[in-house]
Amino acid sequence: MRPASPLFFLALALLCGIAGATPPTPAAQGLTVMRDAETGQLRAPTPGELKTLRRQSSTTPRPAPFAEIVGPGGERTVELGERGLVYAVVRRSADGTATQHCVASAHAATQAIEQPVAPAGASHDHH
Amino acid sequence: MTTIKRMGNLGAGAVARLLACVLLGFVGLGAGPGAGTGAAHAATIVIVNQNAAGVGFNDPAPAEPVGGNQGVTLGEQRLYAFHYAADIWASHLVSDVPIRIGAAFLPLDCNATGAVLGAAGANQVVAEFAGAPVRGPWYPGALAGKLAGVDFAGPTVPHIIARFNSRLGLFPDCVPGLTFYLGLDRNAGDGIDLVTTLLHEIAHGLGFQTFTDDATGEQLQGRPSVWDFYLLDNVRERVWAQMSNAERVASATAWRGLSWNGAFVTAAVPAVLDPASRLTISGAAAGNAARNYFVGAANFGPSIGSAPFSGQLMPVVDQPNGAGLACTPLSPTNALAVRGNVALVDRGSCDFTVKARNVQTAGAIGMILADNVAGEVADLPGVAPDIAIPSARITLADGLALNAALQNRSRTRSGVVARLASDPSRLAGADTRGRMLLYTPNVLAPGSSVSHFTTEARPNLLMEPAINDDLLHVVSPPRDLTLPLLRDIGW
Repeated sequence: MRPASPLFFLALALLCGIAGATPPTPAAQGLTVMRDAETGQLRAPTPGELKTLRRQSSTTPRPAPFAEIVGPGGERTVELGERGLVYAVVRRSADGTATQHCVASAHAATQAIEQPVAPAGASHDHH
Repeated sequence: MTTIKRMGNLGAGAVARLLACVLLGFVGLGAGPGAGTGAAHAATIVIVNQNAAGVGFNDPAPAEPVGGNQGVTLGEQRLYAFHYAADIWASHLVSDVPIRIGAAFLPLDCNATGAVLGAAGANQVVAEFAGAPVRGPWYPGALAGKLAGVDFAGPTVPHIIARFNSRLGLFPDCVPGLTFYLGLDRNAGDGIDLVTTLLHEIAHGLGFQTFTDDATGEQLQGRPSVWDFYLLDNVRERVWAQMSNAERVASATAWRGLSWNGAFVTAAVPAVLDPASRLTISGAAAGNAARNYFVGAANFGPSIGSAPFSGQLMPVVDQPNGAGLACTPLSPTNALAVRGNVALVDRGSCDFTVKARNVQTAGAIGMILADNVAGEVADLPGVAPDIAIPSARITLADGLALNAALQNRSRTRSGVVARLASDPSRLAGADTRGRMLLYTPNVLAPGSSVSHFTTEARPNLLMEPAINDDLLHVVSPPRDLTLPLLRDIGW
């Protein structure tokens, strides 16, 4: 059996490297342009603008669009999954009384329970 | 009837994908599409236990039977309560397609003072199917299946998802001590009545919600929800399905601006709702404050409908800024002012019942409580069998108007007369044409607005945004309007 050539190993190493690499995020792959406020022309963003854009992109992620499936009878179905949930939350005030409330999104539910506790009577429904 | 299906050894994140395998056997035994060909019969609700072994519904911690719940472990009691709530719904619904609820107790968001109790909702929506009363809008999956006699979700997918907090009250970082009450007898005390919460959340999953975004007015995939054909702007007399995004957003924040225009609900409203109460201000010194006011009713003391009354209005003043909290026994000066009169007090610092008790002890014949934050009229919750005087709540703005009229009073006389009585023209929670009002606070409460009944309803209803302590495990008239609403959309 003939020994493999160094080029063969190099090719293998390259392939392994490609296979094992973390896929770049779409934002890093795509071309990003800004509309210049003064000229109205499209241009490459400054490093500062790019940083701001990426921050906005990461803090306000857009949910994936819903997929609409057309069934054999022409019916259309959308899978809502966890995005269709309505949340029941409870808050306990400083004096121990609890209030339940219903909100529509996970974000609203988190907001509701992370609000600072009001002093007794400030805004609780039992006072 | 309800059926419980166990789905063990699954991680919380993978349960939806793996659900298919476990449900295959069940559906193959008669719950499949073929089930839609027979005569309509009471619904079957299948609770699919999505918890892994040893947790949630399968938690082996021993538990004493409580309030009719015969489970002997924490997990069994949770499942028993789920079964009980699902059974209530199943007994009222008709469907040839079994309704599957994918359910689990999981660690949900919580901290020392607040927690997500649970969440539920439709897992999918369906439109343009044969058998739809209205072709075009989205129907929740369970309802679409009932109407078409076809299980659009496929044999292995739940129609409703339900998640409840497995850590509530059981850990120091999750509202310690505030636990789910797992009994069936509504004797929850300071706990959270799980059955009531389940009835509320399952109703959302059955279709008590719009899939249109109430913050932006945008329809899901450009298509209205069946809900939007009954949600009526009662000023324009147009339903949401006919309106633009901007119009929908505006109506979602118009207090008393949206009514439910469904025949079943409207027919049931007179049997369910009590007459509304109103405050009428008159008298020589009333000035611009002389008019009628909306009020929130008290859960304690005699009802205004059965005990209308009137008297001179006198404020309690016990704070440096002129406010009157009445959280402690009244001073001689305040006691002299309210004796034989109607006491005007401010919200804050202590329970409503404490305030009522203090002014009652001082000799007041009634209490008007002015809110301390801007907002809409709300009720006065509380339990106090010893309170014998009627009470009512007004908004902050109305309280300021009354206080302005009381500026020229003497120590015992104000010349402003308050009368609390039933409003013959209105039911508590209905519009002037007898249609049920939806919850539309001026400041949008995302997901609370539009998809709940108004907080003005008397008695309190299951599908108000706040789950009240006095709710029964009842979903139908003459106690509740949830079932008629589901009938309106097609159930």
